[in-house]
Amino acid sequence: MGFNSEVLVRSGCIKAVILTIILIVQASILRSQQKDFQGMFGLRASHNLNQSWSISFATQALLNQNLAELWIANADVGIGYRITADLKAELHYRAIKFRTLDNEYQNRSLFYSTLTYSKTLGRFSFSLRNRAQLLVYENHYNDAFKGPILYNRDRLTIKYKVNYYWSPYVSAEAFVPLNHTRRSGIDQWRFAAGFVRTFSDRFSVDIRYQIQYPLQRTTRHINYLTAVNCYIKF
Amino acid sequence: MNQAISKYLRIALLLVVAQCLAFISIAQGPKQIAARKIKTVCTKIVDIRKGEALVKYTISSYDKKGRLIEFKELNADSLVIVSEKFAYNRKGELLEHQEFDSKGNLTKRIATTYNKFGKEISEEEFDGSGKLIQKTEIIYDNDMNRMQERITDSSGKLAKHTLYEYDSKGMLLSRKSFNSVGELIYEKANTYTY
Repeated sequence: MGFNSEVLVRSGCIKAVILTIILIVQASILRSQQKDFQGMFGLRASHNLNQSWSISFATQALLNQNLAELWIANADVGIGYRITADLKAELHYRAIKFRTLDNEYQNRSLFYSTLTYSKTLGRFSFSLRNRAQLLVYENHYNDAFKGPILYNRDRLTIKYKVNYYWSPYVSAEAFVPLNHTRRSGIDQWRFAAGFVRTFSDRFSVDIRYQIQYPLQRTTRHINYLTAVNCYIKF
Repeated sequence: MNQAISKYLRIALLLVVAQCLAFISIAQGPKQIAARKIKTVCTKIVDIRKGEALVKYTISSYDKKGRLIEFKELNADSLVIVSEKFAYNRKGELLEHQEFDSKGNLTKRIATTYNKFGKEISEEEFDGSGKLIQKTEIIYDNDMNRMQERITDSSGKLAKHTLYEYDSKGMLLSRKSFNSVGELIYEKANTYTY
């Protein structure tokens, strides 16, 4: 196969992948339970202080009601430590604004740590992330203060590197409550499919479609979400 | 719904396992040697390009992980001409390379060290008596790109210095080498079109 034809085949594959994702997204929007389009936009800036330590700042906005309302907004700061080439640990604090049913924004604070193991096998890369999180509702002096709610989350991501620029991936994440009075075991699954478009070593964009399946609830509300996240390294 | 998810998960898991097996079966080098449990490879080489038939043998020995641990070159009478030995750490990184003459005397030893991310950071070359001949230090930036190479002689004096530059996509733009007094002695520059 000549160089040009190989490039054409690759280009065709990428177009097919994008088209497939668009079709899945379109189809899922039509059958989505929330009957609206939800989108998340995020920006994450990170800086390697040295070969081991890194810091990051991230912000996300989750819009619902066909992108007309701001549902959740958050700002996140974190510090990371690369233990080995394959293993990385992070500590984060996330300040969240959550829109309640009476259209008021509730403050939530999330503290979490992650431990991520990544391995590359040829063009495939596997990433296993454990996240232990502690969530509190409102400020401690507020009457609505509640928490902490503890969760253990485990996520497996499988990514395929088509070339430097394109990397489609799929992921599955299990949520396990650690101190819930009624629920035990996995109480939520989160599946995602998307791709990372790398523009340079310093800038990439991650576009994904995500489905959340809550379990052990009386009214189960499956959530469908399209997310666009930009990553900047400085 | 749960049954459907469970079914899809099983299919996904099966695909992942199949892909991993495919990778193992097409692996080259040490993996291929380890998979076949090869201990040694003996090769006979007959070179008649210059008219006279030159016969030599090589024996390569491998460990259980398929890594080369010993290499011997023998003449037509099966006498050892040179031999080399290799030692690795638990991660499979080459730690030491020793060279021996026909009498089995150590002629050269190269010791390599790595950082915790598996990147080579120094290489020390010793002669047969254990005297340091030269040392190479490799310096990386925060993103683990090789930025500098410093070669010092036995007295610790800088003998050669190499600098690397990369573009925004991580491709090598230039490699410049300088001698002990800082004069440019070698330059290679690449230009990329994307």
